[in-house]
Amino acid sequence: MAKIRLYSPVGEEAPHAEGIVPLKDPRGSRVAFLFNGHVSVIPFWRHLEEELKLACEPADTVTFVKPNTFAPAGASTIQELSQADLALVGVCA
Amino acid sequence: MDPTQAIEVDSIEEAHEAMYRLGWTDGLPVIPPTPRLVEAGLEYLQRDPQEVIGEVPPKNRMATVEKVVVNSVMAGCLPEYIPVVIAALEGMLDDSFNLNGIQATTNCISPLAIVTGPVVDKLGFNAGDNTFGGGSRANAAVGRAIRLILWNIGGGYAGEIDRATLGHPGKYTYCIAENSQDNPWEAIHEERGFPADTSCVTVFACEAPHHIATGSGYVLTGGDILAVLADSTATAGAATMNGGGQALLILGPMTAQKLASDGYGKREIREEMQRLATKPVKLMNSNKFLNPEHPFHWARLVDPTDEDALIPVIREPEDLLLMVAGGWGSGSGFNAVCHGWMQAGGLAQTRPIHWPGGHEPTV
Repeated sequence: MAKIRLYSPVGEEAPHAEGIVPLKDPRGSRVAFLFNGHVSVIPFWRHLEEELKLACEPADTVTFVKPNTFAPAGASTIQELSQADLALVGVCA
Repeated sequence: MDPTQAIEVDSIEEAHEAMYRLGWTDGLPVIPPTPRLVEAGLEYLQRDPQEVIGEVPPKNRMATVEKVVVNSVMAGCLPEYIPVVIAALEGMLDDSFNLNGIQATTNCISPLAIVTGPVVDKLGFNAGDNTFGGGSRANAAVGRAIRLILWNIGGGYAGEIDRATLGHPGKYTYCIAENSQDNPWEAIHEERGFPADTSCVTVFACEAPHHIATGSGYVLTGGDILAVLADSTATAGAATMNGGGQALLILGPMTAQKLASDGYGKREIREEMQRLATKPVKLMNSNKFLNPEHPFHWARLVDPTDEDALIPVIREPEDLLLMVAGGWGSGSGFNAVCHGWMQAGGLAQTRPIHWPGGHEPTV
């Protein structure tokens, strides 16, 4: 029986996106938290940070709040984030 | 199995089931992208199949010419439609469009493609009755191709990265055309810097259309009509009311003709809509959609302690996109408004359509 060939519509990864590796063990790392400070999630986010500190035992943590939910954080914040080993980013809208 | 590679099946029935199983479609049936159909599209375009048009977020996968053709074939596009799809994609990939946010947001928006210029008639786009509905292969297939590209190349899968809470019927297909025959003003693409005889696509991420019936265009004044349009545009729950950005007002031919005969140009309509389409601070203080400190919040324009002050949904006149589309109607003027996604993204982008060999086709 003749086969029917179907081209795949799924895009290929961009070359610079290859090589993304799973997170390493966060214990002993410098961890940064970034969220948008939405009034409805402030208690949740604080709780999440505390839980992660207990569970992951980072060496150091720092928290940033970005005022604009929908746009990237400012350049200075990104620069400071780059000093961390891991960053946890979350938004609520 | 590499999901980006071709597969082989034994029958057309197996092809349909395989495409569902592999997640190549969002639920609607699609045309099997066979070599004959894909090669016809590539042959028409006369471009390198591996040429990268851009990376489509949120997965940032590469939109090669070949992958765009494959998705367009699956959508039911004729080869001649594919340059329209590519122009729309180029517009969505502009950084200011924030396609990454559009694909992932909890808001309920979808990129709308607005086709303008000679291509509307040449390729058979519908700009009359049932503008948002069925009846035209060109509208349906181009809008569908855009969605399949966002799905298969961008990876904006519903319930995964796409977190839209209510979704949007236009996420299946969302493409309309400007009714140039009944448009008394300049076309959208002319307003945005392109010659009148250039075929263009404008993409704008917006909510579903909200219908506005303005009453008889034969007996009302332009002022009467604008009052109804304004009241229907200013709603407390609209993202634009809370966070600014753009809204698209689609005027039916009867409405457009009446406004034009009463001396309104697009500039005057925009200014009147900004003046009339408002909500009071007292009401909007009860909506906590955005923090008052948020840069989009209306508190940056109006004193939030002045309860009687009025907040314009159209922050600046140019934030109102205007076009003419739809059928004439009977005794009433029929119009619609589509609210955008604040200033967060999806702001209108217009791109000219590049035809193979510079020759605009007729179908």
